[in-house]
Amino acid sequence: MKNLIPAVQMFTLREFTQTPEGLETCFKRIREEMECGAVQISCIGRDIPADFIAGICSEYDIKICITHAPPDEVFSGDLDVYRKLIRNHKTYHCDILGVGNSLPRYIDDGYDGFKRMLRDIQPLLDMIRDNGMTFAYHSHTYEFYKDPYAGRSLYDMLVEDTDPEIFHFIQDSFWIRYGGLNQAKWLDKVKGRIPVLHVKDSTPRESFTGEAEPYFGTIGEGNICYAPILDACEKAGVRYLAIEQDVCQRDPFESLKAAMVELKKAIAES
Amino acid sequence: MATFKIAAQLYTLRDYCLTKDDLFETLRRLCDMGYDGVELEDTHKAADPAELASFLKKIGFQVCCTRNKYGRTEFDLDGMLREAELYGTPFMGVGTTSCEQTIHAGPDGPLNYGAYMTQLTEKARARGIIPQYDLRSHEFLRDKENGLAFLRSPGTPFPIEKILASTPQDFHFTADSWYVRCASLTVPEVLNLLKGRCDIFRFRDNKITLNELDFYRAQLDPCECGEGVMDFESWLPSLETAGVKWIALGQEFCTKDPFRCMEISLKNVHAMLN
Repeated sequence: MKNLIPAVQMFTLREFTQTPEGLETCFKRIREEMECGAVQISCIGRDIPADFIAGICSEYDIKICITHAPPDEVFSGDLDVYRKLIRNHKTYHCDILGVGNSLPRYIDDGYDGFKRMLRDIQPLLDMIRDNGMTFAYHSHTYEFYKDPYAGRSLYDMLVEDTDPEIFHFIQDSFWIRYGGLNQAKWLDKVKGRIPVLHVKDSTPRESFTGEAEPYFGTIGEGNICYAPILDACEKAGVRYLAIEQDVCQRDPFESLKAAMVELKKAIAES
Repeated sequence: MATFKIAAQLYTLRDYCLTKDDLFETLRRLCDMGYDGVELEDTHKAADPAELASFLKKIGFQVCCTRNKYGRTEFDLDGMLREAELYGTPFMGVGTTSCEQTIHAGPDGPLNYGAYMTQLTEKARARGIIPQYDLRSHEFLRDKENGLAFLRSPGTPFPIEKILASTPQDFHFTADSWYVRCASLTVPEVLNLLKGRCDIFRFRDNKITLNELDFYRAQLDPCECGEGVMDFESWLPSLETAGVKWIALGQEFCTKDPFRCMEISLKNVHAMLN
């Protein structure tokens, strides 16, 4: 059995996490119904105080293994905002500040846009390093776009042009599969720099033209086999497998519970 | 490592095969590029099969397989078999199933198809021909209950599993990396399913293109083999284990001269194999 820890990516529950009461209910259900002790907070209500979050972490014995901080704050360039982000992370004892996506102003300018993104985020990375923390970028599929002028992909740039000690990654099993990429190869590319993998399934549906079309699914109900992925995770040094389901076809708690059972089974059999 | 023969997917050059002269010129160019053979598709519409067979023999170009649509099996199976014999290939394409025959047809749909193909395989076997099913992606949709293909019962078999179980061992499959990706599977998983029944594997690569309307759902465009994101090299052991004999290269659409695309694909795959 591999030393991989199941977690809940709370983006899945975003409609329930906009108030302190809602967030606490989610923590309680994650602990009691899913028997899970690790979460990633993402898209939670922005007014929820960090010390309240720290309190419910303690009460329900749940570790925040990583975050997705709001992209508009991460890319703001505002040092006061950055100080607050880091202070909040220290309050709830999370040492990896993540971001779930870039911003349109960078993405739609492709390679040059990502160069600007790395330049703009440098003050935050410096502050993160000074505070003994790390940063993690969550990728989808579009980051594997290869710029024909530069001859490399946006993802290559993120890997090669950043400090490996500070700039880390969160990959996503669905988006890697959607793009036709080799998960093991890309995990290996960021070996030692990927603390968390987002896990979900792909339950393809019939597209308008009749071919199968990937779609977000609950682990165990779709076409992604996790055994080889867990092998690659172990080799790459992944610690947490965070279940994320962007869209659920039923109550998100039910999807998460079913996925958690399947993920724990896959880890136990690995 | 097994030695794979490399074929060209003539479909990539379909606009250059509409007359006999163009077809012959296209085949000659592919042969000169260094391809071992070709997948012939719709060529009977442009040239007499006997004349084409004679031309191919003259230039020393093998036929990897013929490709036909399913419908032709119902009205011209003899013509299909005769063409395969003329071209000296044991591999005769029989098209794919439509969604009407699989996921829309209820649980018996794939079984009815399997029964029909069993009869066809018997006729082909008598003439030393092996039918080749063109594997797409809809065969990996679990079911259509309530119109939601993804809300399947655990353990519900794929239509492909029903087709495999209801056809003889010498009813074979041509798989395609593009469609494997559509089905959210990996090539080794599909090859394991088809072990011993997959003679031809089609390499089709995709590159990631930015989609301004929805960044998350990046566009996946066809490109030359080896120029995109697919990791062909990692599949070679699975191709060997499954008994694949031919790797066929091509792409649905080209953003360069299609002949240049075929050259690039061949160069990249040769480099990978060597």
